Amino acid sequence: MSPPALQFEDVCFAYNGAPVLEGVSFSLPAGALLGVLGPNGAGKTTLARLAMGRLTPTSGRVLVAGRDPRKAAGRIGYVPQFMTLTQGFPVKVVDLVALGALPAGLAGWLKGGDAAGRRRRALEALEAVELADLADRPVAELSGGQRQRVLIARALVGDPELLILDEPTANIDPAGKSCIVDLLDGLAERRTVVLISHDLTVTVPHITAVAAVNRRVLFRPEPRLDQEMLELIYGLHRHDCPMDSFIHHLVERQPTLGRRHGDSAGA
Amino acid sequence: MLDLLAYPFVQRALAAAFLVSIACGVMGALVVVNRMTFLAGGVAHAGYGGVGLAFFAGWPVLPTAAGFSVLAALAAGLLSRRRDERMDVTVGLLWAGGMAFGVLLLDLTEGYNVDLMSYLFGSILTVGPDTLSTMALLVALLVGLVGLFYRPLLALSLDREFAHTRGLPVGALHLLLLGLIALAVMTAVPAIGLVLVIALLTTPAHLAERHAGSLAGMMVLASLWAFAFCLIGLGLAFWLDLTSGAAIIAVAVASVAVAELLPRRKRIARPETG
Repeated sequence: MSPPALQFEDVCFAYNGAPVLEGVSFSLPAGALLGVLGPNGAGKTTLARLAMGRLTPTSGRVLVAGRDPRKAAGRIGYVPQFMTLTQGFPVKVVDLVALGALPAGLAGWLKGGDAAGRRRRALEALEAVELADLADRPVAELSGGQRQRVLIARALVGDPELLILDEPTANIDPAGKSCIVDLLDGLAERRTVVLISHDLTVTVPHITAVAAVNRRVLFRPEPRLDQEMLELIYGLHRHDCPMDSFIHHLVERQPTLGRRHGDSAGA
Repeated sequence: MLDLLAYPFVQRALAAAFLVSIACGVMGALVVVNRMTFLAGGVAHAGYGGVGLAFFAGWPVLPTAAGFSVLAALAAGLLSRRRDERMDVTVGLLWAGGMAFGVLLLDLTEGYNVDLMSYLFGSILTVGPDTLSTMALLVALLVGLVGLFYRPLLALSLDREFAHTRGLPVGALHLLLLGLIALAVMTAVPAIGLVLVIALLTTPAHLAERHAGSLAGMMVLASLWAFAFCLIGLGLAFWLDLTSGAAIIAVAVASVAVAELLPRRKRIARPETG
């Protein structure tokens, strides 16, 4: 039996002594699409950085496919909230994406190797996100939504087993957001996906499992938000906030919104 | 004018300008895209501590100052990591602390008789053969390391989280980058001095990024710009009897000012599709 794609075992994490995450435990099977929901500052990005091995838990442990995430380089793809590119950074779209095709580890990067093969794979990944026609454009010329798709292509070209997307639609306009949302279904076909968002409307239609984050994490292996999760995320009880009716509406509609609800039993 | 080229000191000045241009062009591109200008300034001024140490201990100035700057840059990198990435505070300490350390050591050095202004503002026309050889070695080391680590440094400059997920040692590469910046700064000190070096690191790279298609292209273009500034500045210094380092930087700054007045290449963001 293959190990879970992502596993948190009683993980706690603190920045300078201030707790950010406490007692986080969940196990995500391969092929799942986990929606991670929570307000700003709840610890969602910290959760992602722990999963990538970028942060070390204060206590507990994180496993990616049964191993320390720091030793799982190349198995994890990451799409950040936005491209942290210095204005005017001279890099073409295809060159940026091709970096994702280099073999994991410093030795592979120093060696380089088959540049033509990397370019071909980068073009294929750009085709998948419908940006192949912009391959030779400077990245600086792209819109926010296009940049986000370039980041997805860069993550995909390495064919990761675990793909983590951190608020992929947070900084783009509605048209770009729609395009990203359309991509999400295809991404989960061949890999485990962790989709972090504070935006319920992005996450709910696609997930097979859900985690509510606000220092603690409540995990459900099905696309269902319950009242306990909503209270954790928003700190609210029903009828005491204008958002309540919206949240309630989503809770009531979940069986129909979760596209994979029927086949999520194993998730 | 060609007669001038017969003078050994002019030949050395041109060779020094060439070496400084490579160092500042290559590392300037990395400094600019990584937004490390302030850090590079801190490393440059910390180099004064190395100058003071060299005179105090009786060691050769450029290798000592280069070694000191590299260690200071690495210490700043490690310290900022422990201080929760407060790089600005660390660089401030590096900047003033290095200068103070250098001044104190020179105070304690008996009977030194050196033109310290040449370390602060450079003196490319008086670069000696030994200094030139050391500069050449530093540039060879710099270019070799940047060439070897080009792709990892590119990934680091683009996105550190991505570099980490691809199994690159982000912390070690950051320290390598700091060390390389220190090497570039100290290579340029004999020519333009540690106060002015920051301008030759940033202005050529700033101009180059407008037309470069890649980071490597930016490095080459920046090196060419830096060499042009050095040649014009040298010429002005020679014929108008000006301080060479200041003349070179004045040319660089004037070039950026002119470039800012020119229309920029139009960048058209394509509309979002689907």
